[in-house]
Amino acid sequence: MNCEEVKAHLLDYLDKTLDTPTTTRVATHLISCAPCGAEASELADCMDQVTALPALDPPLGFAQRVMAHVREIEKRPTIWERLFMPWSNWTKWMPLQATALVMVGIIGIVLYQKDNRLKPTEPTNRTLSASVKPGTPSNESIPAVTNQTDKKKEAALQAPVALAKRAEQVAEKKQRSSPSSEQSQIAKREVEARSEETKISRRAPIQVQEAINMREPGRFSGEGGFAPPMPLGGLRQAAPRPGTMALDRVVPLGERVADYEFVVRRRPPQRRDQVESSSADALKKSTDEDTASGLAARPATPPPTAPKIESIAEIRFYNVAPEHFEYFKKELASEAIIETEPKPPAAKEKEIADLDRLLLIKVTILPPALPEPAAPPR
Amino acid sequence: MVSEAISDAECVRKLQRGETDAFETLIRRHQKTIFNLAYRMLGDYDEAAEISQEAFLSAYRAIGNFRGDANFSTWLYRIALNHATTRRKSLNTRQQRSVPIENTEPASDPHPGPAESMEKKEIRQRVQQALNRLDPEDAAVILLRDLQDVPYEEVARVLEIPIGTVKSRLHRARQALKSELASYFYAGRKAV
Repeated sequence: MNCEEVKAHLLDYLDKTLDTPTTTRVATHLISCAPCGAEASELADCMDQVTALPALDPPLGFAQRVMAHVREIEKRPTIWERLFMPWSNWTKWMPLQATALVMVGIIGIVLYQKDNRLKPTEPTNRTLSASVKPGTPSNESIPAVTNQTDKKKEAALQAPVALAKRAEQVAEKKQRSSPSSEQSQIAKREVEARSEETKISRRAPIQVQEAINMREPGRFSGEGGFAPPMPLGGLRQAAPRPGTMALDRVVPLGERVADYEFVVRRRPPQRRDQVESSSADALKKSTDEDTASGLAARPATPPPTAPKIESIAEIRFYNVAPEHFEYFKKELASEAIIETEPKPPAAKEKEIADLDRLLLIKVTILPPALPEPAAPPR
Repeated sequence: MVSEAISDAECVRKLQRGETDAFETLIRRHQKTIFNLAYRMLGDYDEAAEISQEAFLSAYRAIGNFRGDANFSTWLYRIALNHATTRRKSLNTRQQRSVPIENTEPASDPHPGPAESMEKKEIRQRVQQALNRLDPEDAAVILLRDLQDVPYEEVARVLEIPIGTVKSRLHRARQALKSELASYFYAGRKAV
């Protein structure tokens, strides 16, 4: 046997898997051939070194640790179970899901409220309109007066609401039984309440915002035909009486620029016919007395008393259809003394005429002028 | 607890029927072999413990696929060697491997002298270093055949290669190991 044959059988020789004759021949060659003998010896030595490596014990509790993991795997649902049986352990996750649902609801409500708060108010005026029966006298429905405090805007916005509610209650009562005495009493109470509020707030000028829509149905189509709009009668009144009001929209003053602006002055409290009748009565009475007592001394005329100024100025807004503007102006002139009349430029006038909406008219109502001291009767 | 007397095949059947405790029997039966194989493949005690655990857990997860054509131990060897080979490759890419200097090598002689004990420990460390420097396939075949004394047929099944390939690979692996150890064991001999 040569070296190549020995190398071919060397593995089996070292593993002792060769048959006896082959093992004898290989062993003879290894004794006679020094290089082959050395290599066989070294390989056997290597095998012995590996075989001699001691066996180590695994860590203590290795089996228990593996079994703990095995039991964890056993409890965990498989992917199939997770995909197709998601409700198998729904009771475990229910509190979490319920909490998440509640949280989503709360966040939704908060966002909704926040969104409402951020919504811009509509540009149109909120109308404090008194519902007027067609054909009824204009002094039956009187625009409400609202006090606005500059410091507390919210209070100012809520005041008309409160007044509107009160006015609605009053209107209900009025609808049930509408004697004029009750109306006047209610109006009196309202005026008193309002004057108390004015005293409390100690704010001298009272701004009044009112917009009246002359296109409201029934305004001009009554039994009496083209009935005058309600508000003008109220110009004479120092304190307005409440009417049935419907609060549609309230917009802060100054938000819209009026198309026309009037400055009017209230007429004196007494109307001319009353003055004439009273003076005629007084003249008649004095004539009778003169005839009765001859030329007796005439009673001293009482000194003229200054009219009580109910308010310094009042501003009202009216929504008037463009075609009714002239009528409105005529009515205004009949009810009050127009001090300043708007004269817009021709361009603006044309622009206003082309408007497709109601005209917003601002009327600044000044208190009645102090009467001139009457000449002493002769 | 399943009786220790029953065979691996019976334990596997029980496990496949859902008796998880049967797996504990298999672990206790094979843990030392698998752990030592992993330890000699990796040369690190903690890594070996982790790889052994992963091997057993992989076996548990895949027990449904085990058809029983081969021994359970053969199947388990294959799983452990796959894990160890993968880990060894990742460790090799991370750092130059070296034998950890630790006192995990037990003394074979219960009452050795200090000098003899030190020499044996050094020899074991050298052998382990040489094994670590081998290709994982070569190390695996040496460990299965020389350390675990696994028959050629079973080694062929574990490595899924023919027996002839196992023999040639084993011869090549032994030559490589001899070369690795030559500088330490045979330097004086060659010089003489």
